Amino acid sequence: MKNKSIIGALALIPILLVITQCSSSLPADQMRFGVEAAKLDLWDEAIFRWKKVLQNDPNSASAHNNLAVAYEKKSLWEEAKTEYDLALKIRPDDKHINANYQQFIKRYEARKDDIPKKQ
Amino acid sequence: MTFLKNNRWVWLLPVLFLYSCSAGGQYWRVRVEMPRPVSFELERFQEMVVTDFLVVKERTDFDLNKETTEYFAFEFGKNITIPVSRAAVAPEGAETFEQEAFWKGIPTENEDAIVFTGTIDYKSEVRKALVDREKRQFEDPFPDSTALEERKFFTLFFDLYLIDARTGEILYQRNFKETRNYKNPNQTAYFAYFDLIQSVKDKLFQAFLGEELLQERYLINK
Repeated sequence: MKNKSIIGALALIPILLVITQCSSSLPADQMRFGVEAAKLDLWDEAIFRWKKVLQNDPNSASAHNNLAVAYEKKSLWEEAKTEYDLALKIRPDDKHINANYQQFIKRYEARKDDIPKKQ
Repeated sequence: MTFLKNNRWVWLLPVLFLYSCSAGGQYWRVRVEMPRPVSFELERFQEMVVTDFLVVKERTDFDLNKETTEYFAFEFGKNITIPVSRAAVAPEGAETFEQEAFWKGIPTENEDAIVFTGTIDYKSEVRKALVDREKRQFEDPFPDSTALEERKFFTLFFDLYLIDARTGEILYQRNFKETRNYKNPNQTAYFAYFDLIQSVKDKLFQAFLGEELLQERYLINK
């Protein structure tokens, strides 16, 4: 009888975890939530989620990368540059972050070059 | 143990749990409408005043200044939210653009106005060249030959200045040189001018209005 209730209680743990989807406060969940929000064009929500990830894990290259994309979308060029720089500092060989950065920096530099000098 | 024997589905739960924690790709490629960087914020002013242009050489076939000022006044009026007005004030020479006192005297309805002015020059020429003509089809009765071909070239030189009407200071300056050639010998300078001025406008508005551009980015989900 005692064994039965212990096994029953143990079996309940994964059930609860599945129901709560690994608990919504986990950084991984916040990250995923942010991605889903971004895919729906809800960039402010995405920024909020990825900032929460960084509160828990300031060295999350993924969160820095995603935030950089969101800042690009919102025309916050300097903030985007800072976030890309941080992401690449943490994970310099990540091909996806590098691909994003190459696309970004072309536009960022073009913007600086395009500002005509006063004569 | 009897419980587990009778409820074998319970073993599936840890697997389901692990799947739910790791579900979803690690990278998502998304297509995002990225705003193009804006070089100059026109809309921080309350008004734009389009003045006459300094025309380097007047043309006999059409009024270059009138067409240019009307074109830009119309296009800006359509694309920016601040009011656009005209001022019949012409720069007297290239040095006028540097004379702050001259531009401070421009009549404006709003105190905080930006003046759109500049220099314009438009040239056309016919270039001829001997071009090898290739035999086009098997049944073409004419042999390969060399023919004299001509093209009409039109070039528009456009130096733009944006001047702060309050201080007379030049805030933005940009030079354009647009060239286009036409095979049609009857192409008129007037029609070619609109092709060229539209090309100038497109480049200028990209810098001022920051239109969106579809780009691909990776979002990382891990």
